[in-house]
Amino acid sequence: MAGRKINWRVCVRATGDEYDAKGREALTELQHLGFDEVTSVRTTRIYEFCGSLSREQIAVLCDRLFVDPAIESASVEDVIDWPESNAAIVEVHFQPGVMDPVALSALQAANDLLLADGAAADRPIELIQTAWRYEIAGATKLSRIEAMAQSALANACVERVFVKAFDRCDALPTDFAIPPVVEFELVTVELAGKDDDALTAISKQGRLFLSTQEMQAIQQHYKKLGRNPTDIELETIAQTWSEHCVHKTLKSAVEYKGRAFGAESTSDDEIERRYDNLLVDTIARATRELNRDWCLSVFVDNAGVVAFDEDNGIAFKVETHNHPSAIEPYGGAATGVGGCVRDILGCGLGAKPIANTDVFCVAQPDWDSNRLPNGVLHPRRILRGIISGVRDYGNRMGIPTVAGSLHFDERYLANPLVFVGSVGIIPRKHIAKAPQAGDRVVVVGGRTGRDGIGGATFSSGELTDSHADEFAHAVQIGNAIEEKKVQDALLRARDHESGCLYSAVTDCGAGGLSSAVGEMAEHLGATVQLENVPLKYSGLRYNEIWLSEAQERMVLSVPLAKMDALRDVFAREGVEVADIGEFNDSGTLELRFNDEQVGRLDLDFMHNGVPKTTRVARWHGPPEGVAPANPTKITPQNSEEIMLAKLASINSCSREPIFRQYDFEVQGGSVIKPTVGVGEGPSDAAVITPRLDSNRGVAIGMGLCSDRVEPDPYWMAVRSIDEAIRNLVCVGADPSRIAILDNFCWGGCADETAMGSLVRACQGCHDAALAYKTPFISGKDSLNNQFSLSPEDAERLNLPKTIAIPPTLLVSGIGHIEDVRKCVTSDLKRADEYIVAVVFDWESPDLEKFAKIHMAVADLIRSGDVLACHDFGEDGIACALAEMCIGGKVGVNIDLQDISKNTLAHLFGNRHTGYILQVRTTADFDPIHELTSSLDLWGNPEGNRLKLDMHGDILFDVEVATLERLWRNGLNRDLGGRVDG
Amino acid sequence: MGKPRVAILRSAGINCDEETVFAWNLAGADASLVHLDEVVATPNRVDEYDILTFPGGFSFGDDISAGAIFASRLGRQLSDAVRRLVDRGGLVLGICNGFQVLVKAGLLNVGDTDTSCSLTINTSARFTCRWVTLESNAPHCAFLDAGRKYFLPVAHAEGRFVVSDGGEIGSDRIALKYAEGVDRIGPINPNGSLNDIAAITDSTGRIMGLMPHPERYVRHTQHPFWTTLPEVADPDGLAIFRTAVKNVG
Repeated sequence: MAGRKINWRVCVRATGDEYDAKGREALTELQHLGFDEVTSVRTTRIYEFCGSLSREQIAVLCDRLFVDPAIESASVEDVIDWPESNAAIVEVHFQPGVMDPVALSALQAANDLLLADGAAADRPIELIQTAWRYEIAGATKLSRIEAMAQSALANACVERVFVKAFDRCDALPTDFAIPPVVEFELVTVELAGKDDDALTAISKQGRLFLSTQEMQAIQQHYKKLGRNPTDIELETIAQTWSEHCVHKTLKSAVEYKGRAFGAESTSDDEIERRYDNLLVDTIARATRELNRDWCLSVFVDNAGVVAFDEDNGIAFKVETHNHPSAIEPYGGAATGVGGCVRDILGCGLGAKPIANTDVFCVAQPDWDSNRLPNGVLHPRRILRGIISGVRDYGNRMGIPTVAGSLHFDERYLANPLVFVGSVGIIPRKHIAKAPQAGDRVVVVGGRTGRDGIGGATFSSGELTDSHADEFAHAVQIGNAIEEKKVQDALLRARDHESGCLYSAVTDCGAGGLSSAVGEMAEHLGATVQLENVPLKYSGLRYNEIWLSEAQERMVLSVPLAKMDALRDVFAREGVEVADIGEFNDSGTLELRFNDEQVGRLDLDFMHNGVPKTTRVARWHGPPEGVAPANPTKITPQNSEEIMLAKLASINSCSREPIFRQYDFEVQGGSVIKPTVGVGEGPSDAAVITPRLDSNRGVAIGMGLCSDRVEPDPYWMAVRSIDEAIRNLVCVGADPSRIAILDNFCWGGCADETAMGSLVRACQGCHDAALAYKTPFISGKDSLNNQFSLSPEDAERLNLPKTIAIPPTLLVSGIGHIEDVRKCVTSDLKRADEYIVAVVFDWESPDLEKFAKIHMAVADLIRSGDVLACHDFGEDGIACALAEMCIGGKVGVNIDLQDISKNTLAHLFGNRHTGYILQVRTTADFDPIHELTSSLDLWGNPEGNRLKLDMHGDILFDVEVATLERLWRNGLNRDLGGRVDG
Repeated sequence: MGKPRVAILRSAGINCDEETVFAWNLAGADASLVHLDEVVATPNRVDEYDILTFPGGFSFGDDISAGAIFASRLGRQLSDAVRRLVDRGGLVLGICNGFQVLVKAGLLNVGDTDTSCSLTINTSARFTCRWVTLESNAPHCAFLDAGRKYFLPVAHAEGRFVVSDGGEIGSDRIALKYAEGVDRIGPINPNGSLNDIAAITDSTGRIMGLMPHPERYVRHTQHPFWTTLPEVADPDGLAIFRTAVKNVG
């Protein structure tokens, strides 16, 4: 590998242990992972320079930029060598070509500083790269140090490790690693005359993830053209047709045979039903039938858009980034946020991001490290990584992360789910967009490298134990500040005094330029000069440039006459603009590299040529062996114990260790935060004011009930929608103005039963959306969330050969709030009023009635008579009451006089859900009483104990401070101690 | 005098600029955004303003350390312009990342030349977003009402105030300290700051840097317990901007 010499190395250390926060963090983490022998970790930040710099210039840079004189000192070296140390030393460097945002910023800042200071006449520094050094004291042998490096300090996917410990002494790099340069050579792929086996082999070898039937369709197409495809053509088609991009499973025709819908799973009625297009015939159909005039853009753009006020709409999109997060949790989750935010920026002519959401599904963080399959990271490491990734990207972009949830199940071990959402505000006049023939094809933002190639196809297959190695190139590190700059520039170009400077915009996500330009050109045509795409380093092949998923890029179509103004706006924000081609009306996508044509794709074939399949789906009841959950029988004697255990369990406890790391206040719009009340209890949904000068708000909440999927995916879907609506109504949202988004994450859908569960969930979505009059406005699916273990591992660990996630549907809801000053929070207020539980009976669910209850509760909240409102789920009323006491920092003494035989079950958890309301005694409660059985919980918030008294039996009598401690600390043990402080 | 003119300096990664404009305007100022590159190119532009604000965010990604690159870009000429502004009665406010910038640019030096101060990584080593109670300390600070307690949010990973070994900070330079509050749940001091310091001023009291975000509490519904409280006329954050508007010039 060719290299450039490292001329200087600056090593910066804290002057005392107490200022080495990274060292302390590493020590905690290592000890948590069982490396108890480690006694201390000291870190050093390393900057390596290439350029003709004098020692004086380096000294200026240290003094003015790289070293904080209050707490740091630096050594400057021109010979690269290990330091003298008794401790074991590990240095962590990036792999060649991996994004190093600090190095990019440092390079610019250092050259600027030397120039401005007169210390240099030009830009003397050519390259900077960074690394971290860990000095680890107490280690007893080399293999332990190597294990530490692998499991805590570095991820081989994006980083490389150098060790000096015991008898190992690696040579440190003395040169900058320069990625290899590939000479131009046009490659065609021989398809003509190949049989099915050969076609399948080509698909497999090229990691195209195309089925034999799809390969045949491509073969036919090129036969008609009388030639073979070039590699770039074949790869473009594979990206466009990938599950990730085209959702071929959810959009396929389906023959369903099995239990009827709607009735509970005890039904023996079998039906047959055909869907021409599953998605269109269920979820999209409900939206079409509901035909709400406040839905401004549904299913057509990068995000759905609903009305906000006279001038603005609200865009909402939720994405998953599961496969990348399994392999590199930090980078995977961060780029997931980055991609979803770009969907908002690329919605219409650009929406401004105003809030993010995060929902994680992972395995239990106390998973036994010895029972980890090869190729799988420990759940605790995954969870910490994805939290950090979501935190850093959102915080740095200045987008508040306001709402989320966390779910644990061992089946998420190898396939963690990372759902990231983003909400934006967009002027109504900018919702429509259309590129015009003659517009320039313009790429803006970050430069293109070899990162993320094949991400869309990678995301579409199942994971195996060797994926971390094979698909390392699909993993990327994000650079949030680059994206913030793109946002600043894009919105200024949108609002330019001469009018919007572009006719369309979309983000570069999965598939990179191939899918962004391919989509924009769909009804037109385009010619692209690939050599004009700005590169991070030279020597990329034409197909690498076209398919790279390098982050923080967007594609615009710009009328020629506006190019100068656009360049000017972007230059002011320091964002690179490249004119890479032209849209035309040719119906073809021509790809050129310098003077050569490297691809010429028929856009109609590319977008509509994917063979339509008919899938067979069956569902005849819950799988055998799945017994209905049989919880411990609740008695007055054990109820306190059960409730306290639930409150502290990782699936129910406070998410505080997560959301405290998110800036949920930035932009100043927060009205209902993740905590509510003086006691910092949980909120049901987030509320923000998108405009600081208005009291109009939006509420954001979600529902996810994957634990209800086994009995029946149909009802799982219904309950998820109901939960999302309930959470939104709790804070004061208007149920007639709620829009929802679906995110399906399934294991494999190859077999008929798995397909059957998908059909039932889709039908549940349709039926509930209609009953509740709640339209879907956007959605996304991620299938093949399963992992194949090596046969040895399966035997060694006594695990199944394939671990599939439980089918998981996230429903994210966005509600409208006319006046946020009427919002309600869940904390009990210190007032002598009436507490009542409104129960939704899921033994005999009546969705029409449920819809009316939601409406009646919302009306009561709007009347101003509700002081507190909280949702209760399957953990029961008592847990929810405890949370209300925690938020209000007040006890309550409840004397249950008039109770039914179900009362205990309602209190401590069964299948039912509902609302707990603290209402004024003067309130008109009749409309709710008429609709449902409600449970009166007369009681005065007072004192500091939660006490439940049933017929003189004390069910429960615990200090609120005890409840609080259990609930607040449930996650701390697993996430490494303190929340903050 | 008409409304004081406020410049809010933004750069790559600054992200609290718009709400800071809103807060100043609500307090009776005439605020606008100015890009850092413009004042670096023409430092005299500072002379057009009465108040300069360095807002929150992650300027240049907080790469190297929080505020370090922004501070390095200020340069001698711009620092001179800032001092001119203070000399003619103007004010300078650094919020969160802006505080980090002021400290690292040397505009808030705390004592003799051997003592340097800084804001470094929280003792928890994590980003923390929470509301804190603050006690005002400096009777001559142009931004604060002496003796008032403020309740404001912090949101930072590098807010721990430190001074170099053996150094000290005069008590007259401490503007706000983290303090005990009613119904406190979290720690008093969210980041491990020396002497619970949350804000400091220069020797004139006309330059203040603070870690908490006053621009995030200028409306009733921004308060974390607003659903339990009557509406107040001057939310603690707005009070800081109002006092500054009163004291400028």
